[in-house]
Amino acid sequence: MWGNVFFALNQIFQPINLLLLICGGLGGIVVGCLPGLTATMALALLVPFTFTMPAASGLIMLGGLYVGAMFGDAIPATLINTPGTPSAIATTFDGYPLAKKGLAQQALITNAFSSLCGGIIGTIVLLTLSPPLAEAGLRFGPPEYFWISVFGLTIIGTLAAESMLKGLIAGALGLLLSTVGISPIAGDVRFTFGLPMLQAGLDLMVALIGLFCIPQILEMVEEGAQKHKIIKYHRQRGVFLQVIRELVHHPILLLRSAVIGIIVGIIPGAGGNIASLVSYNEAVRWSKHPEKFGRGTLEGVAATETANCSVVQGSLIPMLTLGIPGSPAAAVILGALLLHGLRPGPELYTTFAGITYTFIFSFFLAVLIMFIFTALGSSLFSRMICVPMQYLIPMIALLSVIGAFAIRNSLFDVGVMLLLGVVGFLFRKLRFHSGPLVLGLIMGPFAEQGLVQSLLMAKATGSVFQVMFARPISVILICLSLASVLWPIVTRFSKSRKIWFFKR
Amino acid sequence: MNMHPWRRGLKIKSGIAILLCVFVGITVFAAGDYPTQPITYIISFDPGGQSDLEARRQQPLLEKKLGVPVVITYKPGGGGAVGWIELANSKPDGYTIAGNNIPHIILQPLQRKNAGYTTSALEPVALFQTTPIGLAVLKTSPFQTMADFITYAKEHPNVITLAGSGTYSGHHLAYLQWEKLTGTKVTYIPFTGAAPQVAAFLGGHTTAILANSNDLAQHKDRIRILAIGSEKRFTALPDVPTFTELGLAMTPSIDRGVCVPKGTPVARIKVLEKAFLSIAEDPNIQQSMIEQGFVPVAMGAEEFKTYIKEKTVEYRELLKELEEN
Amino acid sequence: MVGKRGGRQEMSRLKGGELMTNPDLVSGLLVLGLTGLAWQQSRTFSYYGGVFVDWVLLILGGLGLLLVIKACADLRMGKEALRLSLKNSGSVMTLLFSLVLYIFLLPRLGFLLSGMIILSGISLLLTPGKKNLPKNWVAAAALSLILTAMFYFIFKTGLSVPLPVGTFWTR
Repeated sequence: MWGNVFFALNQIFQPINLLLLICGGLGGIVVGCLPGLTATMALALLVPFTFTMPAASGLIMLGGLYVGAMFGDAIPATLINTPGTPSAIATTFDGYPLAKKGLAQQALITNAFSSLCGGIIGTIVLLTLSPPLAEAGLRFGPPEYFWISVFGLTIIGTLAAESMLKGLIAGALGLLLSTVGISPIAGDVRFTFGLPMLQAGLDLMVALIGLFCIPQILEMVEEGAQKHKIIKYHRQRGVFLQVIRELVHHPILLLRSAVIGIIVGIIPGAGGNIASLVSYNEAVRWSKHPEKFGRGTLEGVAATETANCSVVQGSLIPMLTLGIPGSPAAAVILGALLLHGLRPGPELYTTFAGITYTFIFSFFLAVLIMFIFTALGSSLFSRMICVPMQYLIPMIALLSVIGAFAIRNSLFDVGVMLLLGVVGFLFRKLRFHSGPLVLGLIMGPFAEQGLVQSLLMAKATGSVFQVMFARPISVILICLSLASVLWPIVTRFSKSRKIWFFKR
Repeated sequence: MNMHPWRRGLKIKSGIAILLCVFVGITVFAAGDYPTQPITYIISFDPGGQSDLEARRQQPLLEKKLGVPVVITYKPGGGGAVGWIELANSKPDGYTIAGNNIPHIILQPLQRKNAGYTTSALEPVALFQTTPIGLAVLKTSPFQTMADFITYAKEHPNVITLAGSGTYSGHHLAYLQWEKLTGTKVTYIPFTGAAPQVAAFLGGHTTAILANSNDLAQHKDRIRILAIGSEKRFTALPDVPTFTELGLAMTPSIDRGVCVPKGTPVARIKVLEKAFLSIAEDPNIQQSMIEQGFVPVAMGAEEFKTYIKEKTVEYRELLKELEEN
Repeated sequence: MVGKRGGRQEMSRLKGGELMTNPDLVSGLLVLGLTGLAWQQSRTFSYYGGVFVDWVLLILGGLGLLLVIKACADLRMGKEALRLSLKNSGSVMTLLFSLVLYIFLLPRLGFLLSGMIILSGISLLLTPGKKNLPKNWVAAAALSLILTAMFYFIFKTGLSVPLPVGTFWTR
């Protein structure tokens, strides 16, 4: 084992591998930065380039890109309230308010540092606990997927602080929108109104750009050049250390978020988007000052970014041990593995141990280098939004249109994006929150597949109760969901009792 | 001299417009032999999937043989329908091609009311891969042979759960054929792809699985494969009997090929066919396919067209029978 | 403003760029309308294709109803209606319209040209002060040229993502 470790350490510092790592990483940051480009797409583009390289080098580059994208997607999330990839949705909740307060650089440094922590913890787990964790991941069957979605939907409670009713409506709307297209189980063509392009359903990234980006620029125009203050950039000294000092005071937050990211990553199909939302929810739940979340607190950004980075390693756990990718991006890396003649499974850790360990260790280096880049670049990035509106808005408009187009090469999607943009704008006017809608869109397919597949299983065993409610992991998830729903009610109740008590 | 502002803007714009016209003009007039422009290769599934992997395997060789860039674009959705609809509506000039899958392109228009495309709108060019489908149970399962499995299924209708990938897909069809030939009823549980179906099966959530040969080969240490859908014994799994050997007249498989929109000039189809066939016959490619558990094939356009016709007839009859029951 | 006498407020009143109504009532009715439409469409779904949809529609319909009831209760109690206002509506509409125009032009003129036209237009619209100044025109055109060229380079060359060429050029 130690022989492999030393070999790996030697390999990752080879100049060619370092170069590939940095190129991949920088490419990843750019991809993450541009809403409309996802890590999965960029990875698929790079795979052919790896044919001519030795397997380890190619994997290092791909790993670097995946990691870079997880660092980069927080940048637009913080600066223009648009997640660069779906994994950064939750980063907009606190990142953008921070930017509005003039603390964009702090948010970006938090992003860098938390992602670093998430990546390191994730890689340690990937290195040491892969086989048992992968097996545990297999225990999640259709009923468990359904209950995870239910648990995920309880996050609406945190997001819809203002009006629970409206939050639930938005969530239900999201669930409904997620059913547009071809039913995954029965093959029905649903809600397409005769338009064949709708058979593919609504793409999440298109919806994100539409719901977050467009209302943003419409609002900016509405406020007018007079009211919209250009956020002045102040050169702040010692910002870097100040932020890190504050984050180091929350080790449990960082650890918990990393663990959530790893667990969600292991579950095949669930990726960064779910991990960051669940992590955010838990951070709010366990925080001493939950009311600060959503208004711009570094803890909010830290929670989401740690999780979204540790998902990378989490998704590789079942991929390397069983050949079952934990996320779409991991699926592409799996493809690269196969094309290089490597087979997931015990062989990777015995015959090909050199390559595998090199790949895993490269993540340590990747997150470190990405941390340095994004932290150093934070001052540059945060200056990007300090431009007058007549330059900023055309840029964002171009980004939205091209981003929405690039996802599926479809002008139709751009139209959908714009329509959703108007809907998002109306939402804000009618005091609805777009967050729960996005949550419904994400969870909808999981919930539906879980439900229908479980019903089919129940048809075979003859008992719906046994399939849906009697399995051990399901029971745990049901309890978690109930706790998640009842917790805010309980805390509100106990708080009001305390106030009453003090009033006496 | 103080020019009127809009005239100055107009000057810049017309300058650019002229430049662009010249550029495009050069490209168009220089188009002597085909191909002279980049070719778009549509993949109807997500990146990282099998169709994508095949395309990525072919891409560098295609670019060398055709002399132009080959750009792979993904149009996932609808079990592949979205990509095929796009292809059917593209200009038949030979610069847009798509990967096609049998039986998907036959079953979808047959079964869906408004599929958005017809099987004949996709002109076949070449077939390069076959993935036989096999039926497997876990090593810990009580079923040792297909005969045990069928007996149990007969005694307990609908109790056995069979994981498959997709509806109106190769797996779904295999399940329907198997039910008909064995006279049993089992519950088919569709998943959205190979990875989720394999994960659910390995986790013990379904009794058995209908999976592609490469997935079966990948996990052969944990599973017991009861039968495989190839015509003769499968090289990567020599101990596994075929369905036909066991008395079940079915050879379920998923075939991957490439197609162009109907109406593409025959000369251009021939160029593409030649390129794809030479890749399919390349021994390195064949070797790596076999290692991963696929069956390399090299079928040209005419043969492919006949194959599709035969299969269409077969499936149509099968579906009619099932509807009558 | 209605006093505590609990009189019925006016349901809606148009006033310039403002709409005084109870937005919750409007939203609730919209939700119910949407639920009805989706319900009607879903009658042709098979059992497994429709079971999830049915549950979601049930929940959505119920919540919509609750919202309508709450809105009516608020009105009865005389709570002040939230104002639904759209300031600067001219600029907002123009921005929206330009984006729609952009989508229209993209397949016809291609990425570069339509980008330049629309982006310069938007930039000009938002420039404070006199719009006819030549320097503003130049700034707008320069900005759109740089942006479109930069994105063209990143997407097309760097990432091989095909961009609309425009039927105008390929005729």
